[in-house]
Parts: sequence; structure tokens; C-alpha cells
Amino acid sequence: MERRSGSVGICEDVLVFQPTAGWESPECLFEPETVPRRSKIASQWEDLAPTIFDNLTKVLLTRWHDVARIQSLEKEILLLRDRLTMMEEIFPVEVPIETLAPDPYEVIRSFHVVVQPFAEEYLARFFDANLAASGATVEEAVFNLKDMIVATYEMLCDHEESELGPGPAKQLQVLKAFLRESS
Amino acid sequence: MPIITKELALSIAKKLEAEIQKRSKKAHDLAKVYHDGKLIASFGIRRGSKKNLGHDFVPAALYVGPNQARLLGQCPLKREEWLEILREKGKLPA
Repeated sequence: MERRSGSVGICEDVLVFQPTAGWESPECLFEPETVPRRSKIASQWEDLAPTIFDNLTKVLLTRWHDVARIQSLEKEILLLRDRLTMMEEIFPVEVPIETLAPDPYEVIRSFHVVVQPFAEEYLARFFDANLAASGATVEEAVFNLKDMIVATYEMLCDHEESELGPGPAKQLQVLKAFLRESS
Repeated sequence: MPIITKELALSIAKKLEAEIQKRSKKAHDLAKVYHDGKLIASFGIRRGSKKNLGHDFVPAALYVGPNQARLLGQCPLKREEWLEILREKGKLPA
């Protein structure tokens, strides 16, 4: 048999032999019928590929929509959190005071104190009596204000009326309207 | 960070020659400021070892803003100048 040099390849489903330079024309080594066009697996893959690709696309699209939705919700939550923080800073909380226990004083009529975040702490104020106190939490600020109310009341009561300046005299007048010593 | 810390509140009390009333087992001591024998202002000083405890309630008790209270504690504002502010606001006895 004559031996020829060249390369083998597939051209339009036909196995062809391409001789190297020097040969006048390419020549088919086999008849097209004798060459198996595709393997069975390749054929099945070709049939399934579009369906797999479609399904993969659908899954990826759904996932992408979910990610976009979650990112959008995250942004919205951050925005709402910022707005809530701002609202908390702007709008103070009103806390009703109905008891001064365990101090031996009773509240004649309940009153409200205003608690507001201030310089990384909370400031509780009883505006009418010009009294205020700070605390690390709302509860601590209110507790401290109750202590200040009692302390100021006791201290003012220890003075004669003539010994009080305008500010303290008004404070005592206001405090007497809201609390008294327990009997 | 509070504008008026405990350290500054104590400086203010000293500057105003306040009388400190100790209150054991309570949240505050009391600083009482007298002028001509009359009590003209008082404020609480939180009990606790931290120097930076917040005392931002002190300015209102002294009838001044936070900045003036800070100046009182840091020296530029003198007791007499503070008394003048109170006089203008009608917080001193006639």
C-alpha cells in the first residue's frame, strides 16, 4: 500500500484526508456511509442541550431577580433605619411618672417627663420644675430624674421661703403641686 | 461624648462657689449656689467614678446654654458674669 503524508479532519460530517503540499488534490479515504457521523452520547447531548440551557437560564434569571430584590430590600431597610434613628432623635419620648417609690413621697397627680437622646446618653426633663437628669438608658435617665426630683424637693423644703431665689421658689411651688411626703 | 462631663460639672460647682450636699446611696449629690444668702440655683452631680459621666442637664439648672456652662467650667466665664446673666433673666432676688 502506498503511504501518504497529510492530516485527517472532519469536513461537513465527512472524514477527510488533507495531504500535505505536493499532492495535487485531496482525496477521501472513506466513503461517507462508512464513517459514523455522531456517537450516541453526542447525539443525545445535542437533543438535550437546548432544554438544559433553557432550564439553566430560567434558574439563573430567577436567582438574579431574587438577588436584585434582596439588594433593593436591604437598601430600603437601611433607609428606614436611618429615618427611625433621625425620628428618635427629633421626637422625644414622654414617660408618665406615677410613683417615686422607694422614696417616702407620693405623687399627688401624675406628670410626664420627656426623655430625649442627647450626646450619646439620654436626658430626662421635667420642664415645669426645671429639673433634668442624664442616664445611659431611658430607664436610668428617668430613675436619675426621680432621684433629682426628690433631692431637690427635700433640699428646698429645708429652706425658709425667704431664703429662696426666684428660680428655686418656683421649683418648690411646682413640686408641691405634684408630690408630698407619704403619711 | 457629653458636652458637660462630671469633671466639668465639678469645675462649675467650684467656680460658682457651690455648696456640695453629699447624699449617700443616692444617684446624685447636690450642688447649691447661694448669692446674698439666698439659694439661686442648684444642680445634681452624678455619683460615680467616671470623669466623663454626662451632666448635660446642668446648663438648664443654671439658666444658661451648654456653651456658657462649658465656659463657666473652663474659666473664661466668671461667677460675676454668670450672676449678671441671671440678673438679666430675672433669676436673682431683687
